[in-house]
Amino acid sequence: MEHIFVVTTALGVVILNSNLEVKDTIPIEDEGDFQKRSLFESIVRKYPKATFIVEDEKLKSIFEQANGKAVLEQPSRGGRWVRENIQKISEIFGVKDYLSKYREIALNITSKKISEDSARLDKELIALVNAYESINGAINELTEKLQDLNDLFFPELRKVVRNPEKYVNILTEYPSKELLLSERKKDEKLEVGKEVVKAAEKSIGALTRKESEETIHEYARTIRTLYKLKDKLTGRITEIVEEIAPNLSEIAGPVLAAKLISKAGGLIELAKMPSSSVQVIGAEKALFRAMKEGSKPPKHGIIFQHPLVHNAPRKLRGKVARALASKIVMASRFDAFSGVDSSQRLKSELKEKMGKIGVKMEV
Amino acid sequence: MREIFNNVFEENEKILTINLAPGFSVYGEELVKIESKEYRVWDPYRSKISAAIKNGLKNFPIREDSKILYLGAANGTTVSHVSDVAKNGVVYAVEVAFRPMRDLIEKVAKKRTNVIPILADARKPFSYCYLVENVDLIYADVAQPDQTDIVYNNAVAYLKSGGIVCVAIKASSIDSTKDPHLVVDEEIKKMVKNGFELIERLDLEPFDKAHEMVVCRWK
Repeated sequence: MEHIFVVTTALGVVILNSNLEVKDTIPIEDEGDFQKRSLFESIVRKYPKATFIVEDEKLKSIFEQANGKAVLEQPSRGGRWVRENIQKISEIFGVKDYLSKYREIALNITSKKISEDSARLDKELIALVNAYESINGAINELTEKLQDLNDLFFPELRKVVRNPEKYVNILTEYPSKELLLSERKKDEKLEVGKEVVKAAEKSIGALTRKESEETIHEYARTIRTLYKLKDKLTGRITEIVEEIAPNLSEIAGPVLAAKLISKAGGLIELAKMPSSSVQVIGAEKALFRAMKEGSKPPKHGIIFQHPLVHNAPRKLRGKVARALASKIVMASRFDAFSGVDSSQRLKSELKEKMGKIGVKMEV
Repeated sequence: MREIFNNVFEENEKILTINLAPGFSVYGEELVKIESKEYRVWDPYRSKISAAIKNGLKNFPIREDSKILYLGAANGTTVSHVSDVAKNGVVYAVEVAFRPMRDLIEKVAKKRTNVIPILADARKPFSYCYLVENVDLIYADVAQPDQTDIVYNNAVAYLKSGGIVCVAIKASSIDSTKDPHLVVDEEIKKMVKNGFELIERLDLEPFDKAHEMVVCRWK
């Protein structure tokens, strides 16, 4: 059983036997070749009985997909040897100046990744936030209309189930109080609250006819689908924000962070804003009214959605919003311009500031 | 002006390196012309190596022809000076975040032929094995709690025997509740256990709070 080292370099693939003798070199045309399976399939075909020793997990799975036997060694003896003797290797490849080749490939790969990632992610995020807000608005409006409709048959449900998502879920399962009660008879441990059952028993609503029940069922089901879509969007928004703005996400929470980036038109744009502007993003109408008519300026814009602000006593909200906006801007600047993880420092500074204002903050 | 280390100069208390990309300032640092050569001022508040030099570093690890693996390259502030010093060597600059990497490419890598930019996670050294060679020096400034492990894994993969590692340790990113010096003591102990030999450690106050520069030799 032959053991063969497969070592990737920017010049190409180097194949060595267990005595570290170069058996084969396969030059690459461009950096995309590393992703090409055919390249490694041809190696497997050439050495059908060999066990390939590779250093990269991805490469291992490529070999395995090509029905080759591969083991992972990090680093492999062959890999260290090749990287120690890269001058010799480059002569075999017929490359005079290996460094310029390495640099060219590295620049290409990195530039490509960056332009793809940053431009795409910024835009994707903004689009997702817009979609999120539309869907959220639609859910609220549709749920209200559903409640209006259902009020004719089961008006008490609104009062016992305050959470709109739960309301919709109950109507998806039991679109009428009659159905609910009959199911309840069959199964005592029905998964709805006692209050709901009680309310259904005592309901003053009209008798639900089959046709109405079907409409309500279909309607509620559709809204539930929208809730699922909203969750999906939130998940993707969180992923992107944590990638492009980890500090901001940590300070503001992923969804608020995404909304701020979206309102500002991008992460860099947000980072360039003064903290006083960030404080009132989303309250432009009130701000301009204040400037024009001399009324009181707004204390907060969408950063109101941060628990520190909306949980603070009304009197302190302005102070809290100002302090929070300042840390939010700093976090976005770290994300946009340095990439250093400073979230813990910013958080503890924020906590200290909150202490001075007189608001408790959990870290 | 005097040359305090190979390719590192001092004048009027300022640390200088010869600008490898004349006429171009990377991060807003001052450019100084002395005897028809252009120098860049190496700001100790912006770069920990400069802070270490200011504080009397004895074992400056970068030579004119050093091959360097730089972990945590960020936007290339320090990388640019390292590239000035190792003008006949090469700097493999690894950075995981793509925003700073964009600056590193535009302002540093495209203007300097001895800088190779690598967008990758230093925690996974073999994800960039095809873009590097064995090196004389690993410099790490990644400010992560597991920095010491990151350095060790990269040393196993890429450091020549007898090579140097130079690590900027930020105590608060490891344990912000303990005395910073004790935190660094612990990290050094770990490194010695991993086969490094301590050469020098240096406080970076007042330029960086609770940071130390640690220089070690690999077995």
